[in-house]
Amino acid sequence: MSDTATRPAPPAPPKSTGVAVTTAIWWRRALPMAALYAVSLGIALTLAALLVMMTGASPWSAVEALYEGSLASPAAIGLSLDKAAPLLIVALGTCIAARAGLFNIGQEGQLLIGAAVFTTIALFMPGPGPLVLIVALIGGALGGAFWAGIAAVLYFWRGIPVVITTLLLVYISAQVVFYSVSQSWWLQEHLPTGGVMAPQSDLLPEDRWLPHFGEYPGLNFASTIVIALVLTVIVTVMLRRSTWGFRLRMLGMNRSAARRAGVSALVFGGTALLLSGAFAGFAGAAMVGGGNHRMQPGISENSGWDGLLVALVARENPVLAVPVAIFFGMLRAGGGFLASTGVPRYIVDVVTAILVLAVVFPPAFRLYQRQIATRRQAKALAAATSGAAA
Amino acid sequence: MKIRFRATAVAALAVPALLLAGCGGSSSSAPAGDGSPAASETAGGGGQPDVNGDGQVVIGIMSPGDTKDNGYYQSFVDEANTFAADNGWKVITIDKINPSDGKNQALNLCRQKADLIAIGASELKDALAATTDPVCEGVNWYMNGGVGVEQTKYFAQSTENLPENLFNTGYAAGLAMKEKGITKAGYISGPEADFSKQAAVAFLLGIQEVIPDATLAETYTGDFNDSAKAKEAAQAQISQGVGLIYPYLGGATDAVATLANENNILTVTPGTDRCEDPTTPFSISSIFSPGAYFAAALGEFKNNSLEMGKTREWRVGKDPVPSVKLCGEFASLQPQADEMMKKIGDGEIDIQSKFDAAYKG
Repeated sequence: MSDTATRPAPPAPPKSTGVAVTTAIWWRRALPMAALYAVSLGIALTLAALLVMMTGASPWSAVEALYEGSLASPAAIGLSLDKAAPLLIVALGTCIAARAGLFNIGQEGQLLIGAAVFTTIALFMPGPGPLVLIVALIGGALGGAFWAGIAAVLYFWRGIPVVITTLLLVYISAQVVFYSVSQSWWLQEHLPTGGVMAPQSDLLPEDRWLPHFGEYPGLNFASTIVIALVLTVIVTVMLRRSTWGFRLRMLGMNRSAARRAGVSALVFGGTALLLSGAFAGFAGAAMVGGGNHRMQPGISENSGWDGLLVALVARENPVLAVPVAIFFGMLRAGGGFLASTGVPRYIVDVVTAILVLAVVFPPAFRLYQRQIATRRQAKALAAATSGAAA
Repeated sequence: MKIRFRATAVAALAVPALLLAGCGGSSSSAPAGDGSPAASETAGGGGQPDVNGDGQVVIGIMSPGDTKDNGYYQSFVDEANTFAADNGWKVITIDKINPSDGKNQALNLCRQKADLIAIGASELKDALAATTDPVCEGVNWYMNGGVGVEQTKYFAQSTENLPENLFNTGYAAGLAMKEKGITKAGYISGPEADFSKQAAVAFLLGIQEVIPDATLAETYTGDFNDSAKAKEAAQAQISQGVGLIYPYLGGATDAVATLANENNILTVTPGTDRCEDPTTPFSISSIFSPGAYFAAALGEFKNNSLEMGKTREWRVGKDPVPSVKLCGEFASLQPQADEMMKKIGDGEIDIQSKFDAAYKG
């Protein structure tokens, strides 16, 4: 203290120089990352083009089809938004759990359970349509929360890792859902003329559908995207500005410190996991109510997995999850249209997967670089310490 | 750090978006006319086959299963491709469609200016919601309903009688089993869906028509295309002593048949004629290939006589398909199988009552 006081203070740099230095540092860091993205996407597009060429189709036509299916018309944009909405909702839930340091990867199963609960309520509950719809949506969210709750109980009671339980519960949920649509007393559809019944539910009555804006071929989309954006605002504010969000982050960053500060891992971590499941369950409910209008075992179309991926690419940031989800939605919508041009479905799947990998790769590569650098520093430090001791 | 990550994320999204947006100059995806005979005959449009009159006949095919499964779903596409090649038509195939995505894919095919959209199986019946969509106006539709979809004026349909087909297949299997002194058969299918369970019941009824005390081991793997699960099921059934296996599967059929052949177990095809198959021989071909029904519909479509709003039911003993063929060493039993098919066609056997009693109790 006295030492500092006796020393002459260094001259403060002019403000403009400080800004310039900060900007220069920012550019120095951002440019390599941008270059990494450019290289990654360049390689991905080249690979995709080669694959498409192997099928005898023109890569340019494929790009054109991707564009047409996702952005070229108001209807295509609406479809992209419809595809993005459940991904965003799932991603928001993932962000909450991740902030608490819990890695829920069972959104696919929680989404399916949410969809099944929603359909059950929407089909069997008597009452006015809008009321039933709201109850069914809440039911879907609770269904997803219940499914995640199983993992939460096992974790906090017996210490079984959340990653393992949530993953394994996905497979159980798929069986439960298939069972539900194969049983005539539960969700299996009823045909008036008998015959063979498909493993799916009856269509929901129209007054139990989520509102739909616009008409084809104009811009038209289900209200799910609006709900998803409202949820994004709520989650962002809650995570950044509320005491609950602060405690959640504290728990995620340092469990011991959080405990000493009076933040209960059971209460806050458990709530985060339940909320994560509730968001996935709600996404499933919205998929049935907003688009498909009937329960089918394959209704998810991997939305749970892709929603998780959206959260990972967005680095568990709810605001960033919005554009990432829309990008994924565009890929889904464009991929579907690409398949209709005659490019084989498996190639379409590979092409979209390559593009997703191209987006995921740069952050992962930078993380790997940092880990290597940290390890080197640790080794160097250890060598220096042992040298000094010798 | 935050700023840097934001920048990278924005770059990640912007680059592909710009790439996509930058190449949207042309929105035309309609295939160019090839001057095919069929197209030139009907230029001007209105009638089948060039329904939209754009000078090219485009057949869009939607399939829930893998169209390279060497069986049921593939037969649908193979017939269409053969027919289209002979007539200079273009075929667009979208396979492995999730039923919940059926309508979107149908709309996509309409945007590709398809003249006829053929739906390969009733799992995709929700795709028919697109029939009334403005973008699909004038498009002709064909539904391979299999066991039937509620008929509307917008599409033509082919159906079959599942209990009848499977009873007939079971009867042929029974003949082969009796010849070999086998009393226990195996049945492997994918999801435990209503039609899979109905097929098993009717198949056993057919076997028991020949061998009254025959039994059937049923296994549902949950997936028509998962070869590993199907082989595991087949291995388990072989260990239980079955002498014949019916793989009522899609892409996993050949894996089961190969294992069965290695163990000298008799096998039955799920829909196509593979008696002469050099790689995976089968003992019995149960022929209810959707491709055969579709070929007939395409013939009518070519002649401007495929009527929308009509259902054609394909019956055993009345039509060339569905049918059954005993292969190789069992070919001598074919007359008995033919006799049974004739009886079924003539209505001498009330299969439906037997089936209802067995399935619904």
